[in-house]
Amino acid sequence: MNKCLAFFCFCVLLGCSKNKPTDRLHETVSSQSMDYATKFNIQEDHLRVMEPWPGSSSAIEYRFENIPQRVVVTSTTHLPYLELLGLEDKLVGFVGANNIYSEKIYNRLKSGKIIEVGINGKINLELLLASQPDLVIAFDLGGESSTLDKIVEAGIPIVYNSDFLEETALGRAEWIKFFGYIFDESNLADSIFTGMVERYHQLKNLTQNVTERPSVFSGVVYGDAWFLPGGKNWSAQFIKDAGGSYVWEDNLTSGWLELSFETVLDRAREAQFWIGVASINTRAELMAQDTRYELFEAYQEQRIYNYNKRIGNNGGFDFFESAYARPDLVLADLIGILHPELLPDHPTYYFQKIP
Amino acid sequence: MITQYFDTSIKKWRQLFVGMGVLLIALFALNISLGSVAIPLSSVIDFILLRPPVDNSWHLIMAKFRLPKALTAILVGGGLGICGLQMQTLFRNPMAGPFILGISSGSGLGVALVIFLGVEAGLLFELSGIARSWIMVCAAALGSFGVLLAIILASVRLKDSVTLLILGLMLGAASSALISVLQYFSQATNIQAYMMWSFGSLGSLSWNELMIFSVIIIIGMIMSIGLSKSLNALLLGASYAESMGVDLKIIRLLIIINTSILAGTITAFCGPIAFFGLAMPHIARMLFNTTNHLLLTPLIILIGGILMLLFDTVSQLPGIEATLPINAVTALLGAPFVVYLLLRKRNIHYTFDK
Repeated sequence: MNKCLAFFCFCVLLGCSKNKPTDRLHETVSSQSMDYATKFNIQEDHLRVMEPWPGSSSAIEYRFENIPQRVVVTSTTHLPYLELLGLEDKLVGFVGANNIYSEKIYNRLKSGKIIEVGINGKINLELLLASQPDLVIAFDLGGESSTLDKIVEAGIPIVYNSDFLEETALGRAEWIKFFGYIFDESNLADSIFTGMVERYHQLKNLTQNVTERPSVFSGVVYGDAWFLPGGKNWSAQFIKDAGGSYVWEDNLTSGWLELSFETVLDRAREAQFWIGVASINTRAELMAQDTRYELFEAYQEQRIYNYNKRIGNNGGFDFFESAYARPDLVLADLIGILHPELLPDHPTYYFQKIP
Repeated sequence: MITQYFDTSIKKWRQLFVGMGVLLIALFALNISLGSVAIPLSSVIDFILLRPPVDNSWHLIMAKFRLPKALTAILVGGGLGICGLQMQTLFRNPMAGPFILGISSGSGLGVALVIFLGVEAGLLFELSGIARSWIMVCAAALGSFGVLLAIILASVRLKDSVTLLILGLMLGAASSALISVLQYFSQATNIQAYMMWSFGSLGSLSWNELMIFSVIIIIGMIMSIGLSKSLNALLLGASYAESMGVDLKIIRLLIIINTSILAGTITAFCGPIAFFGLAMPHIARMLFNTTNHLLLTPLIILIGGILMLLFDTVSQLPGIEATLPINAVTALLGAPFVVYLLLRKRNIHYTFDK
């Protein structure tokens, strides 16, 4: 409630300053609705985030007088958008530096051009103020983060990024336009995204006529629960677009399933591919965790893949950083795994077979 | 003649034990036949009678998942129950449980260290060829036995059991605080992994692990039956026990070692399973109306196993693909049962008033 009020005031403040005669930066952008993204759109003179945090029913409108010059972002998934748009030099602060894969950004952090303003998603207010940002791009999983309110109180504008609420991979990648709008690089963002969509559809068309759709499952068991994407989850869509059939594709959940080991064994024992085994790197490691993994045919046939091909020197996973912004690469990888004959010259980018 | 009463009493208890044994076997069969995957009764019967399987998948599920899980449930239920019983008698306190001496917090700290700081350490272990699930087990065991060592050293110095209890609580509090610090500085995925561990799990033991687990637990259970006589003496008061020739220091030490091995091993393999150890002695005492440890110990092993099988069957939510964490089910179903028994009996002063 408090937060809503604070934001209301914040928006009113921004709204008031609109009438001042300033150079309008964003006048080239006409009102446009997004092609795939459903959680934000760009209006004539403002950016509108429809669902700033999960379950929020009121949209927030953002207007920008000047192009932000010193920005702090709070998730590694925000970084690839900045990089694609060539805006790394605008980044002055980041939360949780040890997760960064991007060498460029990590080097800037090491040389002190980027300050680590907190660890693991928790912003330290004093460090944040020390980095003197003129914009913080934040995400909020629950609509209750009190630190974010404090930042607003301190006079630093916050923009909520809720790209993680998108239900399609292309929708999530389209958030490059969100960053494009903020930094007045909309044309560049549009052309990057259009190219990406084109590549995605070209790849998807490759698998339109495949006769054989290999079955796929994923995940590993934690304690008594095996976490798997639901049948309407965007990773299930990837498998479908890559010409595979996801074992739970008839499921109607867009989130995640939490199943027992025996359920997964019952359904996926004869599945051909096991893609995405968390941080596991060898079949021996799988055996070390639970010898019952060997019951799966994919294990016996050695068709297990993880997404750990690109790990930074400091331990960051590129898959978790840039894959959301590059659905074309993810799809190409999956086609390369499921139908290698369709993409004979494609060495996988994120995924690798585990020995 | 008094021997006549004695004989009828023996007959009564014998009937009770046979009845409980039958119930345990029945629930065992029920537990194996129910789960997230619906398996037709005929296949279950084929499996139990060791007939050649019709559908291989169902056979595998029962052989590799449900059978070890059911055996684990029996051992965990019985083991935690007797830990609770011994702690309550030792400390003469109805609120004591197997984790009262900080054992679960100790193993929690061990596991937290591995999960939160263990990336580098884990790699080291992997190079040496030790399985990762064993790293978790070893970390949990080291944590709880570290706490145990501190308690044993203290118990040699301290005469008073209550002081020991407070010491255990302090160790527990310190470990929990360290865990929070580790959690605060950790990534969401690691926090989730730790949370999954703290939910408890009966089904993650493979046959290899179960082999070692069951040997330790059965040794602990036999030791508990051996300790029952001294526990009976302790119940009547420390000075009375001493007058009966019980060496208080040795017995106290043996009880602490025994419960720590049981509770520590269970926590190491299955996570901290809450509530069970605290409630089981009360349930047994109220149901069977006895405070004789020679009877209570085997009774608790049986009824602990029975209830854990029952709770596990519920947590599998037969017919639904999802499952509930066992830790939630034990307290959710166990607490109303204890409340019901309390209301019927009106008090629990059966043991500790003089």
